Amino acid sequence: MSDAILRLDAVEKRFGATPAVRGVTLEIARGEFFALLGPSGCGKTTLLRLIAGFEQPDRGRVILDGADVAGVPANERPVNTVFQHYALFPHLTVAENVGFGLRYKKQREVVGHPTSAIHEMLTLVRLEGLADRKPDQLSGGQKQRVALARALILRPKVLLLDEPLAALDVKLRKEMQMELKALQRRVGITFVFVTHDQEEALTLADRVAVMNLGKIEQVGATEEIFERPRTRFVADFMGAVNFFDGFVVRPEKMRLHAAPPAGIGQASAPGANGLSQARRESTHFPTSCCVEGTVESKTYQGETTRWQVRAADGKLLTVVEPNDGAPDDVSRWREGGRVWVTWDKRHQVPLQ
Amino acid sequence: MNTERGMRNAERGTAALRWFSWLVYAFLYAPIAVLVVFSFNSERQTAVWRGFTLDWYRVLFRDAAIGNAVANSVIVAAAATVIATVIGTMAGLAMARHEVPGKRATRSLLYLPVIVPEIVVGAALVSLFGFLAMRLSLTTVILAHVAFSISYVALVVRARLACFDRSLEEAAMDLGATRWQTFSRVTLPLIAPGVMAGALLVFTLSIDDYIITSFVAGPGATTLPLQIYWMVKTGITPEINAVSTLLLAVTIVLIAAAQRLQVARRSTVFSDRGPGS
Repeated sequence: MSDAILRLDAVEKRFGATPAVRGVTLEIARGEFFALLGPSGCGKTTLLRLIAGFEQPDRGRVILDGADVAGVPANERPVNTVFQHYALFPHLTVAENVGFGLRYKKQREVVGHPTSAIHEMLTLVRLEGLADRKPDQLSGGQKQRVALARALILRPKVLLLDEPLAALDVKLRKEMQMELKALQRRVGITFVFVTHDQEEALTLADRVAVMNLGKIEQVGATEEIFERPRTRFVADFMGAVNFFDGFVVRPEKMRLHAAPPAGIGQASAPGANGLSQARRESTHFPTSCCVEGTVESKTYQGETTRWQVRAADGKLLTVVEPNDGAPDDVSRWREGGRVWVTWDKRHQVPLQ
Repeated sequence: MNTERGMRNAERGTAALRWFSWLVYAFLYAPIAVLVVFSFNSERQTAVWRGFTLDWYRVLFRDAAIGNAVANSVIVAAAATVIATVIGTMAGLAMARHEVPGKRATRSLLYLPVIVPEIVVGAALVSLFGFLAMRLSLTTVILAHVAFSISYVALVVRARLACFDRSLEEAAMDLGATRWQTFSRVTLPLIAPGVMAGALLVFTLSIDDYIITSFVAGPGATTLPLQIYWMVKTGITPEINAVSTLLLAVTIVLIAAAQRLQVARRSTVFSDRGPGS
């Protein structure tokens, strides 16, 4: 990547004996919306704090817009952070919070008169009327916007967001996701955000780095991460839970049948690894595989129903069927009922 | 029958408890009530109520020795408050923030002045001042008061910081503030109620301290409690009642203010992020 605004080069960080970040190398392009995705304790927040300057790496380099920022304290780095719980100053008004950084030298470009800059920022995040409120008089979404305005007013080269939407309820979170994405496109600033929510990462980001145990497992465009996970960990984290020897199949790519699918028939007894032999000759199904099993549980999820099927060899498969009144008589399949699971071979994602 | 008797017993128990409570309160507050009431008594000699008067307060304000003692007390309390609050706040911040070797030991050491008998502290200070060849004066009184009150400030400030959201300070640094700017614009305003509460506590402790002061006060350094004690030795007079009543009033106001500050705004200041989240 030629136009990298942020480059991490073999960055390592340990806390005492515990390694938090173990040799992370990463490039983030100018103007990109980038997600660091992983379970808690995977090192994603530490990585964010290393970029912000709250922590210094033990090894490796952090290069911001071509400059190595080793030893540069947080208050002098050209980045800003939106904290998980917003960290708004409770003794200051919304306008004072937003204008807080304007008097310090981190703000290099002249933004005009502070008052008009604050007003402009509040308009951008749609909080014009609330300039004189105190943070405790704001809703969660409003606090979120103040935190964004306070960081964006300094025109950072990179905006860091630590689980920016985690503190909001589900409905508000969906709204803020859309808003955040639109805001990022409008201001054109590189956003790097940390999340443990794979759906949020997919919704917001252009590219995602999936982290595990202090290392990056896979970096790529959201579609790539979702459709072509390379490791078992990434596949599992992205919800593709049906693992076989050497490949994985997403639950929504599998289909359930009440009878052995035509063309496969009785011959499709599960093989040693729980799979039947591939058969592509079927005219009714473009299906190559078939596993026979019994329904272990059935969970209605609104648009879909999630089935757990125990294969003959004991493997538990998860199948997500759309609730679209499909021809198969779904209601007949109860717990303990006999079913056949099929999938298209195209949906087998090979794993390393 | 049985339940009826049980209920009656329960009622009797409640009544007994109520009477007992009143007795305890009477035991606690009767002396103070007597003191306050008799400071307004127009009869000088006997403990018999004769009628309401403010004469003893008038006498009080004309008494040069008492005036001098009040002046000394205020000087000592003000100086001790400023010095102990600054040092105690720094100590509280250091304890809450920094992982220093022997942190537990220093914490226990800081509690010690709160529990060591005052008479021991007084005796210790006198020997220290003697060792340093310092003449006992108002200065030694101030130093002694600073010494015993630092702990109180440190403890109050540390309690305040226990539920302080550190990310507020990181946010300030993130926005370009240096450490000092962060402290003055974010940390200090947010712990100010705790610091003020500590300061009021110091003032209260200082203004009515007798034991330690009696050890370290030099000639001409008589504070109000010393003056009252001296007056009592020559006989209880209504002036003593009056000056004690005033001292009591000042103390109550200060303690109430300190308590209000300690709880005040905590809910709003820290509502952004509860300690449990």
